[in-house]
Amino acid sequence: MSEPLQRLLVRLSTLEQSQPTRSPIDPRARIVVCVVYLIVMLSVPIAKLSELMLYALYPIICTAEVGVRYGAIARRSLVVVPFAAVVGVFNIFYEREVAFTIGSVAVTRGWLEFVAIIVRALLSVQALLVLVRVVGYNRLCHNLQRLGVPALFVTQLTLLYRYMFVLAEQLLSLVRARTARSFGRRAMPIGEWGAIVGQLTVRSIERADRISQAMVARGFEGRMPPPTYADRRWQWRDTAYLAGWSVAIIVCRLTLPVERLAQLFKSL
Amino acid sequence: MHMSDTLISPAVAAVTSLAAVALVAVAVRRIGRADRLATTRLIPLMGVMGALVFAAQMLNFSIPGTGSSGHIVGGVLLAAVLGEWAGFLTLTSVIVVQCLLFADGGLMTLGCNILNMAALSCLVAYPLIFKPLVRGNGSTARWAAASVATSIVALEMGAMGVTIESELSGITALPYGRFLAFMLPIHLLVGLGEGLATAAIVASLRRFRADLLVDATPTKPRPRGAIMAATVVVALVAASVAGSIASSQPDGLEWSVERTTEGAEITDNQTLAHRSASALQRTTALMPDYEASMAGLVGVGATVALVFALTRLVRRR
Repeated sequence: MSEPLQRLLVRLSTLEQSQPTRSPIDPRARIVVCVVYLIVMLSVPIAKLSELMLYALYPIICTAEVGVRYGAIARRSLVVVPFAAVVGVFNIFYEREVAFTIGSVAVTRGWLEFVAIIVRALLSVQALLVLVRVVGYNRLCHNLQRLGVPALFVTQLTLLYRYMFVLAEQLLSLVRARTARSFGRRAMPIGEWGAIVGQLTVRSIERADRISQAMVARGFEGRMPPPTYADRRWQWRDTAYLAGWSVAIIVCRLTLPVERLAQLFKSL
Repeated sequence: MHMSDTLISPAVAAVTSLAAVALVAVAVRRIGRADRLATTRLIPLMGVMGALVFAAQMLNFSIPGTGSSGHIVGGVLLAAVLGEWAGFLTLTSVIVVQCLLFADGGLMTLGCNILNMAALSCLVAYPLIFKPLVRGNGSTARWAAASVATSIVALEMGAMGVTIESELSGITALPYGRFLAFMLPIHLLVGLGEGLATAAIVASLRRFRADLLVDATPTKPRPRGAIMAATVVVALVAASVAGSIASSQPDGLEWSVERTTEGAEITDNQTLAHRSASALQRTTALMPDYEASMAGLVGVGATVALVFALTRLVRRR
């Protein structure tokens, strides 16, 4: 188990350090557009699979805009597929009405809804992954605060992220020690697990006490100081980005372009 | 337990997010109101404990007799070390990080996940079950029993929350009763595992640093806020149950109209394209159901707002 953990930590820290080319758009505009996108995309009825597919354009265009590979984002978003499949599989059994047939194969509404549920899951995760990838975790937290999230909560989010690495490293060394002393025993009984995590808890709390003393000594008063980089001011292009995307997404939802196109084809 | 965005409709997302935001605001206020010395010590502790839950989640334990393994949610543990509100805020931050960095649960379902996991375990199960059970620094067995009982209740309530919220969203076709019958037994086992894991950590904490557990040291009891929070959540659950019952029983006329139109459509001799188009349209014609649960949701929103206002009034005095 220690190897995937190590890989995860390395990936997270490299992601945070290797921001793509600093995008000129204010992170706050990106956050709001992402929320608008999610609300609108999730409001598409699951029966309208073709309409839903159109929404894949947003993560694709976003990744292209900032120079991130869409494939990497799409691959990472696959983690939600098993969960979405478990949720959606019931629709196959309950919605048996035939929607259309391809040759002699009848496709039921349930199957369409099953696919739609998976697509929804993929798209919502991709939108979020792109946002975090472009903005970066720490800047995202800071901009959440600028959007009105309480400073105390943002401090908590920042500290949690910072200590995650420290504690995971400590846990790794504990696990390594246990592995070295328990040849061939892979399963971890709950008692042993409790001893390891309990030990880690005690050490962490003592560490937290030392940290808090050090922080107070350096003038900490319960809030994180603003980050070292200067905040960008809101500019016209941020407004344009926000308005452009929001209008495009909402118009797309209201006019159902795919359905219209299909009708056009049918009438030809 | 993490709900994914795909399960939820925007209306349910909006209501649950509002409730979660209200609870976070209350938590921030309560923690901010404590004296400064306590806050400066509490904040790093919250950060470290949140990170600890992450670390603990990365290390799976084996569940006896099943051959499978599980990981901890950590609600009861956090509340036992940090107290209800700080524990709630910490678990909320864990859920936010899981959503942002690990694609575990979505942004739109954050409200649901915070209510199902953080609020129900830290603000309802912990003060109502754990605290009374361990009052007076009981024996190790008593602490263990309290951990297990609280975790099971918290997870069962959370599972119920998941069911209600997905049913109100109307994405899954699984009927409410069956969904519940599927979720509750699973989460009984999950809760048992969670409880045993919590008990194991609590036992080792008691052995090495008993002073760290909030309830091991006599503190002045302040149950009122917790009870208020419990009321908010219970009101939310009750109102949404009422809403879902209302929506699952459309009135007879509607039902018979649906039947007749369906019959007519099936007997009609239509082209393939026509049939598929009308099948698509019929799914959007599920709106009556949706409107009934909308009424439920408005009810939920109003109840939450009312109870929230009441808590503010009570606190002001």
